[in-house]
Order: sequence, then structure tokens, then C-alpha cells
Amino acid sequence: MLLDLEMLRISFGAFAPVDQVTLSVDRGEILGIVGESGSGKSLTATAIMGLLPRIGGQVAAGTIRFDGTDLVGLPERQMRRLRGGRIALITQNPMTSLDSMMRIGPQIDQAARLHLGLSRSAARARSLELMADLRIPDPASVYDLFPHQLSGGMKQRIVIAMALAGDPELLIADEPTTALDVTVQAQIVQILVDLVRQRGLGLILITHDMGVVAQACDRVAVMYCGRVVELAEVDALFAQPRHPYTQALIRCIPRHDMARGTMSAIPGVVPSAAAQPPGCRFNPRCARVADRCRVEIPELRIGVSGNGVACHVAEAA
Amino acid sequence: MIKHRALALLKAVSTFKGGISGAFLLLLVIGALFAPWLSPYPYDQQDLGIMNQAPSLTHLFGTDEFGRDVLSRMITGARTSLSVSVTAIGISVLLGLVLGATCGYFGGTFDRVVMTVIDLTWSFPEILIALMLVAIIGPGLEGVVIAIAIAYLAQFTRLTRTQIMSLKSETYVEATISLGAGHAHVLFSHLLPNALAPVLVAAMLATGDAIILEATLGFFGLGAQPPTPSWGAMMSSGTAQLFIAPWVILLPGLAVALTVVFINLFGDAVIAALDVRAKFREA
Repeated sequence: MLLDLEMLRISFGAFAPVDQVTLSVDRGEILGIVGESGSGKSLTATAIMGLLPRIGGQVAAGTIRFDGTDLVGLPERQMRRLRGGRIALITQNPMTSLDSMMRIGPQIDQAARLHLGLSRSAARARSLELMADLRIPDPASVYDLFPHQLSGGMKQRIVIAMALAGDPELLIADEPTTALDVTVQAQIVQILVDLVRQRGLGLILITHDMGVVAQACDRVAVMYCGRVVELAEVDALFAQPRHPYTQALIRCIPRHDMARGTMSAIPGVVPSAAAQPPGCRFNPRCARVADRCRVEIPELRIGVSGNGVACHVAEAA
Repeated sequence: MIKHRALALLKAVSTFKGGISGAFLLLLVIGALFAPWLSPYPYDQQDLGIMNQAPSLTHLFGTDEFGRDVLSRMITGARTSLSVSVTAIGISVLLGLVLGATCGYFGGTFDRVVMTVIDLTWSFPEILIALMLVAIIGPGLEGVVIAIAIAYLAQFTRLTRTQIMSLKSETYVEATISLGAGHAHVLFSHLLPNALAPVLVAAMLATGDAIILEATLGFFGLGAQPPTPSWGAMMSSGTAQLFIAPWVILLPGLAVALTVVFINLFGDAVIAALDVRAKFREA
């Protein structure tokens, strides 16, 4: 396995917005992490990048094993070498992910110069090649532009090029398509999928869009309130969702052949980290809640197939 | 980036406000630079036979109590006033950038200690701090430069610190850090260039205030020592002849007032032209 999270617990003071997260990604594999806002998807990514201290959090328990080394407690110097060099992050919003005072090209060059020790001209040549790979028209002239001169989709490609410049093995894309037009979204997802297939990268695709999951992912981890509630192959997940939350999420995908007024939503809101319900965290919103769900937290049990669910009701069935 | 800045400057100068004030300031800078060649008489040439003469064709701005040409003294005085205030503000900005950036970026105990001291200096009026410092260092141009630099340090440090603190949480900074960049790279390549524009504008406006402060210190006899002229010192010696030869005090006063007004107008024009947020809206 390229990346292995085991029983990861992230804490901010007394709160633990992410707990008992276990998941893994292999080379050439796309793992989707889905869930509503506040479910701990981005925090998990921040933890893998070792950037929690920046926002005042820390890994309280568990391991993050990358290619055999545990990243938890790794000295900052070594972590910095991994960041951008072997693990890269594609940040959420391409509109704000680029420095508006710096030309596009030098921003892409950064990682290659930092990690591969390339000279300015070598880095430039490499960046131009990357830009061409990402189907950016006329790389040589885009190289000298400022970010405000590009469209959103173009900016997202630049952000992806920045992440790829250090030749990473693992790519984490945090909601890479949220800020983009639907037509552009599909292109960006396709670019990411192609990258994984051609270069054998591992990709963690964080999203709340089930459509993107169905289009791109091999396996999916569904997160709710900081816990993985279901882990499954993408086909199994859509054909036979086991957790009531996953089922509800899938029901919420709009379809063109729906009758008017039948669009469904999950009642209630995600509880805040300070007001977690006892027992299963989904129980106040769950349609199939049992008495046991209100007292005992279900654990994620992963079977031989690699699939698993954290639900008393689904396990009993 | 350089081209972008130059473009903004061009845009500022092309407005009415920016054009007029820019032209005046350019004239002033040229006058200060080439003072020895431009002044009609040596600034220290005394002629007791023509004391306190009203402006005439031979002496356009009249003469003072020693029969010295007021115009020549004002041109040389511009040199003193401008070089002292620009040097002082330059030192102040550099120090403020370094202190503010370190405090804003790293935070912690260092930040708290430095900002407490800085806030302490800010609780006094600039003139008081400057007077106090000159009293300690001793009168003379070096003392005035240091005093003005320290008097304005608080504002640049605070401004830079706030800028850096808000920029630090921008996504592109997170993106750069996730590329494995170190502190120096983040600070110098990304944070400082983005924080610079407002600091430069503030520096320009502060230069106007610094000219007044320099004139005030000169008026009290703490700045340039005779016979070196400065606008403040000229006004000081002119108070005695206020009713006999009012031009000796009024003309340098007018020079101070006009310079400060035009610096402020020019600053306004540059702010309007540099407005980064407006540019985002256009894009």
C-alpha cells in the first residue's frame, strides 16, 4: 500500500473532529472520500500533508503510513521533503490557490526547483511540458501570464500542474471541481483519472459530489462526523449501499427522469463537533434507527473483500 | 511585476490630480538634486547692504536678515528637507517590513514583545518621540533622521504585520507550503510582494508628515545647523522679522504646505491606480 491510515484521530484541544479513520490507497488507484461539509474530509487531507499544526490541530492517535514510514511525528525537515516531492495537494479553490502577484510559470516551477533541484531554465522546460500534458493551449504564452488573465478551469489545470511539478507519487485533490462550471468539472476529473492511469499515481479524491465519485473512483470511503461509515468498491457502493447514510446520499443525486417534487434531502444537519449525539453519530437523522444506535457507537469492520460498514442495523441484516 | 507597477504609476500620473502633483514633485526633486547649479546665488553669501529686501527681479523671493537670497536658500533647503524625510521614511519602512513580517509570520512570544514596545511608541505623538530622541542623540541631521525613522516605525510595522497575518491564511500560501516550500521562500516570494503595495502607499503619505516633522524640528533649532538651510530653520529665523520682512517666513512655509499637499494628492492618485481589488473585479 502506498498510503495507510489506521485509527487516525485528529484533535483540536478537547474536540476530536476526526476519529478512528482507517483507509488506504495503492499506486494507480483512486480513492474517493465523500461526505457533507464538516465530515472531516479536508482535515484528513491536512493531516496527511502534516499541516495540522498550522491550523492549531494535531494527530492525537493512530498512524499515517506512507510507503512504509509513519508520518506522525516525522521531523518537519523530512516532512517538507515529502510535501510536494512525494505527496502533493491540489487545494480547494483554484481562484485563490494562485499567487496573484506572480506569473503562472514561476509558480509551476517552484516544486521542481525545490525538490528536483532543477535550474530555472530546466524547470521552465519541464513546466511547459507539464502544461502541454494537461492540455493547456499555447503553454509558452500562458507561462508568462498572471492568474487573473485565466479562466477557472485553466487555473485549476495550473494548480494541478503545480502539484505535479515535483513528480509526486500520491496526489490529494481536495474538492478540485467544486468551484468550476459543470462542463469544466468533467474535463478536470478526466485529467486526474488519466494521470493516475498513465503515471501510476495514487489519488485521493475528496468531494461531496456522488456524480464525480461514480465517474472516477475505484474505491470510496464515506465519511460522516469525522468517521468512516462505509468503505467499498465503487460498483458495490452504488449497487448495494449498506449504510443508511450512503443510501440517503445516493438518493439525493438528482436524475433527469425524476417526477417533479420527488427530489429527496437528508433531514436535519450535521451536528457540530461540540454537540455530538451519543451512540451512532448519524442516529438523529437515520431512517432506520434502532435502540442500540442511540447508545453504542458502531465500529467499522472491514471484511476480506476490503469492504466494510459501521452500522448496527446493516450488520444485523 | 515591475511592468505592472510601472503601469500603475503611469495610470496615476495620467489623472489630473496625479499629473499636477507629480509635476510639482518632479520639479522639487530636480531642484533638490541640482541645487548648487540652479540657485541664483550661493545660499550662504551674505550682503549686509541688502538686508530684508522685498522680492524683486534681482532677488525673486527677497533677502533675509543677513542679505542672503531667500530663493537660493529655499532650493538648498528643499535638498535638506527632502533627503532627511525620504531617508528617514526609507529606514523606517525597511525596519518596519522586517519587524512586521517576522512578527506576523511567526507570532508567539517574539511577536508579543516587539508589538508591545511598538504600541508603546505609538501611544505618544510622533513629535514628542522625535523631540525626545533628538534630545538624547543631540541636534543635527543624523539625529533628526533617526528620530523620524523611529517615530514612524510603529505604523509600518503594524501595517506589514496585519497584511502578513491575513495573507498567511490565503489558499495560495497553503498551496506553496504543501509544495514543500520553507519559511524563507513563503515569506519572500509570496507574502512580502503581496503585502508591499499598501506599505508603499503609506510610506508615500508618511513622507509628507515627515517633511512637517523635519520642519518642526528645524524650527526648534534641532535639525540642520547654520549656515545649512532647511525650511523649518528658515521659518524659525524669519519669526523675528515677521512684520518687517514677512517673505522670509511665509515663502518657506508655503513650500512646506504645498509639498505636503502635493505628496498627499499624488499618494491618492497612486492608491486609486494601484487598487488591486478593483483589478480583480475587472478580471
